[in-house]
Amino acid sequence: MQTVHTVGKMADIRCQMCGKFNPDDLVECKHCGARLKPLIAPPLSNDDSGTNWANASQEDTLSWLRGLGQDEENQESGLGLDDTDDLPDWPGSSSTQIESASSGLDWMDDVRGNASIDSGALRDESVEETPGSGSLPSWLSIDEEEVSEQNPSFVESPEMESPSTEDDWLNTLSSEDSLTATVSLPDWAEQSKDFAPEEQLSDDLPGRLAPSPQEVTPEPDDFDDDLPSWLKSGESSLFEQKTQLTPESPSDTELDGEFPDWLDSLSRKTGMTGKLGEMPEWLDENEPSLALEKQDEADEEGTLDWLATLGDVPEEESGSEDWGAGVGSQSGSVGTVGGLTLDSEDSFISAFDKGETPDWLESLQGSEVDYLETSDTLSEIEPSSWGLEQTPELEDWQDTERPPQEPVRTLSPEDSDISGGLPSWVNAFRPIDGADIATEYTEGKLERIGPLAGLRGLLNPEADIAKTTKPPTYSDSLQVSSSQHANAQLLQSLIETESVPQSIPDVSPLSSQRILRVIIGIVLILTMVFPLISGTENIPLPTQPLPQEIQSIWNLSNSAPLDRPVLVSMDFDPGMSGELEVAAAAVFDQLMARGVPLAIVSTSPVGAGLGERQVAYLQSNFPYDHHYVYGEDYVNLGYIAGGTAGLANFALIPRQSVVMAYDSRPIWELLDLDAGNPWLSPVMKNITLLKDFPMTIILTDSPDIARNWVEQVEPHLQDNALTMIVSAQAEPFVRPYLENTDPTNRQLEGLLVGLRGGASYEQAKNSSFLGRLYWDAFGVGVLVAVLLILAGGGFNYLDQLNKTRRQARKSKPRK
Amino acid sequence: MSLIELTGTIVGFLLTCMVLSYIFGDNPLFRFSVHLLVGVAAGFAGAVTLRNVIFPNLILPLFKIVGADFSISSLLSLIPVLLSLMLLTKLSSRLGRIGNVAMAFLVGVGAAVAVGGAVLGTLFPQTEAAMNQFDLTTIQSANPAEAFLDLIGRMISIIGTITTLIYFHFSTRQSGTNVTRGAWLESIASIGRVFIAVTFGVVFAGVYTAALTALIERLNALIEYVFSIFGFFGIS
Repeated sequence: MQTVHTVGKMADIRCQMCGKFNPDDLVECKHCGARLKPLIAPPLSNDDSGTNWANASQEDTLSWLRGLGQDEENQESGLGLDDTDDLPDWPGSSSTQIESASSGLDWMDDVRGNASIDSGALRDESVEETPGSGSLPSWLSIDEEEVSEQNPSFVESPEMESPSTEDDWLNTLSSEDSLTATVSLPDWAEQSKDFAPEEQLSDDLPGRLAPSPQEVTPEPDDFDDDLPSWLKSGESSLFEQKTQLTPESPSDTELDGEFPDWLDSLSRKTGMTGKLGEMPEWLDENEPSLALEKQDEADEEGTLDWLATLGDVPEEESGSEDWGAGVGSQSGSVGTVGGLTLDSEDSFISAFDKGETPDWLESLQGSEVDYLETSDTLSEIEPSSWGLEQTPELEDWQDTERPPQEPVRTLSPEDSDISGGLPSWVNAFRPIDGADIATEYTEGKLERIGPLAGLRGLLNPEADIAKTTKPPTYSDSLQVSSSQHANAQLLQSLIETESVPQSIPDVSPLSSQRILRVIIGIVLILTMVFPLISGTENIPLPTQPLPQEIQSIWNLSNSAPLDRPVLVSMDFDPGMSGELEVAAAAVFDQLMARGVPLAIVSTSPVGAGLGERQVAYLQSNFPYDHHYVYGEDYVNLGYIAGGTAGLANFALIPRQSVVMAYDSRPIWELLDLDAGNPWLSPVMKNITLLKDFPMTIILTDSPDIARNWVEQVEPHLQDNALTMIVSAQAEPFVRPYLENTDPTNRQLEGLLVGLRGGASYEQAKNSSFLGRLYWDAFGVGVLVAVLLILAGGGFNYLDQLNKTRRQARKSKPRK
Repeated sequence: MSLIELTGTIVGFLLTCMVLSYIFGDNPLFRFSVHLLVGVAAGFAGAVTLRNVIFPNLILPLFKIVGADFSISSLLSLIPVLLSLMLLTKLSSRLGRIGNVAMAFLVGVGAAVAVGGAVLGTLFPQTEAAMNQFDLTTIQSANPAEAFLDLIGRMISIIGTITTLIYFHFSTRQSGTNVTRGAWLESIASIGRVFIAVTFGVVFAGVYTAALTALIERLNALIEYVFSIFGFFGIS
């Protein structure tokens, strides 16, 4: 959690939260209040390496032992949690975040990879699998592949190659610590195999269990089979030398037949039985006597010198590492392993508390240190460039091969600050030492504190409030001119007006306007109903003679040949039938009285039906000399589809345009197209084109339909006279086609408008139809309308006059 | 009067009264009658279209082709069938693009026919008729008074035509902030505005008289309905 700074007399502790120094005696940071010292008791054993990595290894060692000795429940519920909780940040993250770690942090990935192998895989699988002597377990193989894929660049750098090929200390490594290195080398060490591609791991042993060459007397044959080639290269000389130096284990004979005491208790707990001779080779190699010998050697040398070089970290501080707390349990002072409180009765770990810890296991910790020393050795391949000093421990085991190195240089306080509690070999891999300070400004701020030291571009752990610089202020006022401001205000006012909901005035049923409308309607209806009921004829019909346009229709109707039908187009809506049927009644009556054949057509779907209705009405009300029969006296051509284009097509090729008559045949008879073809009827026998019709009468209430007929059909009529019976509302738009000073250029031959035209025609015909009946009512209605208009206009005039007078009075100054 | 006719008479009477109830404002009876009218008209139009247009122009030619009639006329009838099917693809947003061909055909032909008819059937003839107003030889009346009135009428027609056209002449030369037309043009346009107002008055009068005639016809129908109902029940 904190870093000790030894500048000055008193060792200051750097808070990892705020990065400031605090006196050694403080428990919490005086600046930020973060705890400086952990709550877990520090390890008491002097054999502790004092480095995080050593502690981690020790804990892992205990882990697999716990896996052997503890109940399954303890394994699942206790160890796992405590391992995770108590691990420091970087190894803790290695166990939980190793899969999701950023690939960009290569050197940290290597560290995590190591940690995962040590604390995770080895702990679990060492219990379940019995390691063999000749092959690697699958999990280790996979990790090797993964690690090889994640080789950091520095491993492949040429700086690493030269010492690997030139230094002899690797030979020493192969002879002294080969087993340890080959089994549990972390990633960076695995990657060092690149220096010797033929290297192969020769053992399944977990790394921290692999005995050092001093502890084990390996069989030469085993090494012949399993050692990699680069280790074999020094085998002939160095290995023999080391085997000579290694004393013969006094416990060899003891292990042949029985377990040690602690293993006996272990076997009773776990139910494992058997003889030691049947035990796997990896367990064989963990011979306690050899470990004891190793421990003796370590005692002779006193504390590990290379760890002492990290003496910047005081003992209490190193022991305060979370993940190192488990090591403290080994000394028996606290019954916790890795922060987990163990049952002293059930767990075989209680043996440690009772002083029954086997010596070989204690020496195993020494072997772990040796292994780490080997790691450090590898990390010091190029010490000059990485800024690390070779430790005396290295010198010890390299004495046989190398001359004494330069004196040990103690890490500077700055280095120790940067280290952040990391092992020295990890520090050696950090890119900080080789980084160019100048790149700090280009690649981001360099992190100098904590486990992430050496990385760039990290998020700032400090809150923004801690920043002292005041953020710049910018003016939020727009620089606009007065005209722009006025326009903006105008636009804003328009928008505000649109957004304001407009209240709909509540129209009362008794409002003056509605009452006035009802009164007008009732008056109009009553005044018109009376003439209709009474049948009065007080209002005279339009005076004779007929207007010229009506006279033309009269003349045409009277002169229409009987062998050719008159084309009648019923192009009006049913709503206007009241006007147009009355207007056309006298004309139809004249034609039918003469027996002129009729050909009804329409550009409206309902027009053909209205034509049928007109014929039926006339025949039912006026008995003619001959009864109009469909097909003989009249024919209904039906509906001309297509609007303007259809009408033009009908003008050009009427026989192809209309192929089915509007009749009452059932649908199954429609398959015979000839039977329904109106052009094959006797009425149409003399008609091929539109010009063959003697007269065309258009009944319409729409100016557009009338214009279409004039524009599209009239040019093709030739001798066919085009006349129209139109509604009064269409007259202003149709009459221009009639009004032409040159009679030969008139587009319309005749025009009959509305009820007035119908009544005039009736009068000329001297017949009494609906026109005469409606005429009085129509006159009354027009009179009422005129009176209402005059009354309304007079009221408005008087009202306006009244307002003007009031305004004039108000405008006059009072005397 | 049969019972069916009586029923039709009563229904017609009620529907007419529903429509006339609009004088009291919008009400459900009026809306019902209007919706009924629109629905019946649409259904009738659809039936007529199917019977008189689609069946003879699309279905029967297919029957001919199925009946091994591979004449040119029968094969040519497949073109409208194909265009109709393409037009139906407009119902689908995904395949609607296929119907663009048929739509382009319809719009193109319709526009061409309408423009051609307007130019040849309205613009040129009406222009010629306006110019004929200046031809005094066409005054055929032997009566000097009638000839004078005819001449006055022609003058009014010419003045009305010119001033109305000038009224719709909105182009002007911008000079500074003044965008109004010239004074002489504005005065002529004001005369044209009078003619336009008269025209709209005539149109309004025509609409009113047409509606009045329709109202009279409906009132007469109501009276006939009442008399018919009374006559059915023996009440004269």
